[in-house]
Amino acid sequence: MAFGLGRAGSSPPSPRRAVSPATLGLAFVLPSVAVFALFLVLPVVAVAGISVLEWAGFRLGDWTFVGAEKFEKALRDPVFWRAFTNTLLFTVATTVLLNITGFGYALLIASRVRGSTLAKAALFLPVLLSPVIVALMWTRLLDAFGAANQVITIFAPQGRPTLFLGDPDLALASIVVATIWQFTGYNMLLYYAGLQNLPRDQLDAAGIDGASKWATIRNVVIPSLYPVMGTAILLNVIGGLRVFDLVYVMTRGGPNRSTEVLATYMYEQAFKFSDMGYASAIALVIVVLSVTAAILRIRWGSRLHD
Amino acid sequence: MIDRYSHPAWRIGVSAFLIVSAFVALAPIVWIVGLALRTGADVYSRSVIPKSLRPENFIDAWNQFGLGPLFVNSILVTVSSVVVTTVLSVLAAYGFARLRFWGSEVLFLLILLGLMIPPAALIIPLFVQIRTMGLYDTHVGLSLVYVAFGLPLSILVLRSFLAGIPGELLEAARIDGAHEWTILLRVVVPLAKAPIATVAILMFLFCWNDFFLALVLLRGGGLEDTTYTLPVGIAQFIGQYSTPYELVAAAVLIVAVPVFILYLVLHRQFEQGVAEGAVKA
Repeated sequence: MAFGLGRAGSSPPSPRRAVSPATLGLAFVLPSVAVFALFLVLPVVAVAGISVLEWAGFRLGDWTFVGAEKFEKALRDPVFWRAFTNTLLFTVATTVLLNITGFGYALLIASRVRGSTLAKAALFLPVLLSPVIVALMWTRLLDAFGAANQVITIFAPQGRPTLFLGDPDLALASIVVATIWQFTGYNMLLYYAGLQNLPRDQLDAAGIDGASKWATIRNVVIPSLYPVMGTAILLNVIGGLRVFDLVYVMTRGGPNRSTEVLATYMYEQAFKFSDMGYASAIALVIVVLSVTAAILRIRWGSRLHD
Repeated sequence: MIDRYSHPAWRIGVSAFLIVSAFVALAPIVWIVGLALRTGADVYSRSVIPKSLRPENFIDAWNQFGLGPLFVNSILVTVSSVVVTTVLSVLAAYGFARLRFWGSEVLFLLILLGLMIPPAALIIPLFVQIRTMGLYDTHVGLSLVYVAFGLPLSILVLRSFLAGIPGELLEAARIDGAHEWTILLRVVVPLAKAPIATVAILMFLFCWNDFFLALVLLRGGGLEDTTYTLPVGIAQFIGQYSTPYELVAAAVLIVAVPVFILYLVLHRQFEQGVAEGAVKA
C-alpha cells in the first residue's frame, strides 16, 4: 500500500513524504477514536460498573459495592414494572402505527398525483422539530382550552372538557398520538426512498401480465421493501425504547405513573433521589433492549438473504 | 410509478385524500399560530378560531423567556459541534476507506456499534465524567458529547461514499507527487460535497433539537446568564414561571421558525439527508 513513496526522484524528498499511508490513516482516525472511546465506550463500561454500587453520585470513591441488589430492587419495584410495560406499550404502538401510516403515505405520494408534493412537505415538516417543541405544542392542543376540546365543544357544547393528559387512561395514548404526528413523515420518507429503487423489470412484468394493483403491491412491492421495513422498524423500536423528551415535558410520567417510562424513571432515580446505582441498572435495561432489537434485525436480515 | 395504469377517478380520490392529509398534518401548527396571536382572555374562549389579534405576544415571549441568550447558546453549541464532527469524520472516513492500517476494519466495526447505543442510557456516566473533567455546565463539555454521538453515523455515511471514489483518481494525484493532505483537500472533499452536507444537516438537527443531554449536562442559571440551549431553556423556564399560554405558543413558534426557513431553502438536502442517514443506519 506504499503508493506515496513512488517517484521520489521527481521532486526533492521531504520528511513528510516518508510517512506511510497506513500511519497517516491511523493518524486521521485517531481523533475520532479518542472522542468516541472517552464519551461512548467508557460510559458503556461505566454504566455497568455503577449499576452494582450504592452511590449518591456526589464524589468519586464515595460508594459501596452491593452486587446485584439494584437489579433485585427493580424486580420487586412496581413502578419499575409500570415504566417497563409502558415503554414496551409505547414502543409497540408507535412502531406499528408509524409503519402503517409511513408505508401508506409513501405509496400514495409515489403516485405523483396533484397534491403529493404538498403532502410530502407537510408530513415531513414535524420531523425537523425538537421533541420539546412538539411536546409543548401538544400540551396546549390537548388541555382544557386546547384545540381538541374546542372541536369537541362544537359537537357537545354542554360537555365538560376532556383532560387528555390528566386522565390516566388517556395520557399515554395522547403521547402516542403526538409521536405519530411527528414521525409519520420520517417513515414515509424511508419507504418513499425504498420505492424509488423498486425492481423496474418485475413491475413492468406485473403490468404486462395484467396483475391487479393489490397483487402487484403484495407480490412485488412489499417483498422488495423488506430491507427498508427492517430499518424503519429498528429505528422506531430504538426511538421508542429511549423516549424521554415528550413524556418529561408533557406529563413528567404522571398522572399517577400512568405515563412513566424507563428513561423518565431512570432520570428521577438519578437526579431526584440520587440513587445512581439503581438508575444505572434501569439504563442497562434500555441498552439491553436496544441491542437485542438490533441483533434481531440483523438476524432477520440475513435470513431474508438465504 | 405504481399508479401508472390507474383510473382517473382513483387519481382524483388519492389527490383529495393527500391534500386533506396535508391540512390535517399542518393543523396543529396553524392552531398554535392562532393561539400565539390571541389576547389573554381569548385563550379561554373555547372557540377554534381566534377572536383577537395581539402580535406583541411575540415580543413579550422573547423577553419573558430570555430567548436572546438561549439562541446565542444554541447557535454556539450547534455550530461548533457540527464543524468539529464534520472535520473529524471526513478525516476518519478517509482513513478508514482509503488508508487502511492494521486493525482498521475492527476499529470501524467498533464505531458502528455506537449506533446502537441510545444517548439517554449513558446519561449517568456522562454526567459523572463531564463533572469530573470540570466541564459541567460548559458548552465545551456538551459539544464534546454531541460530537461523540454524532461521529458513528457521520463516519459511516462518509466512508461508504469515499470507498466508492475511483482509485485511479487518487492514484493520478499521488503520481503527480501530491501529499495525502493535498489529495484529501483538493480531490476528495470537493467530490464529497453531498455526503458532507448530509452529515452536517443530520448533526445540526441532532444538536439544535437535543433536550436530554443538555438538561443533564447544563445547570442553566438565571434568565440573563443562562447556559441553556433553546429546547431545554424554554422547557425549564416554562416550568419555573407560570406563563400565559399565548406566550408559550409564541415562544414555541420563534424556536421552530429557523428550522422551517432552513427546510424551505434546503428541502431537498434535508429530505435526502434524513433518508440517507436512516438507511445507512
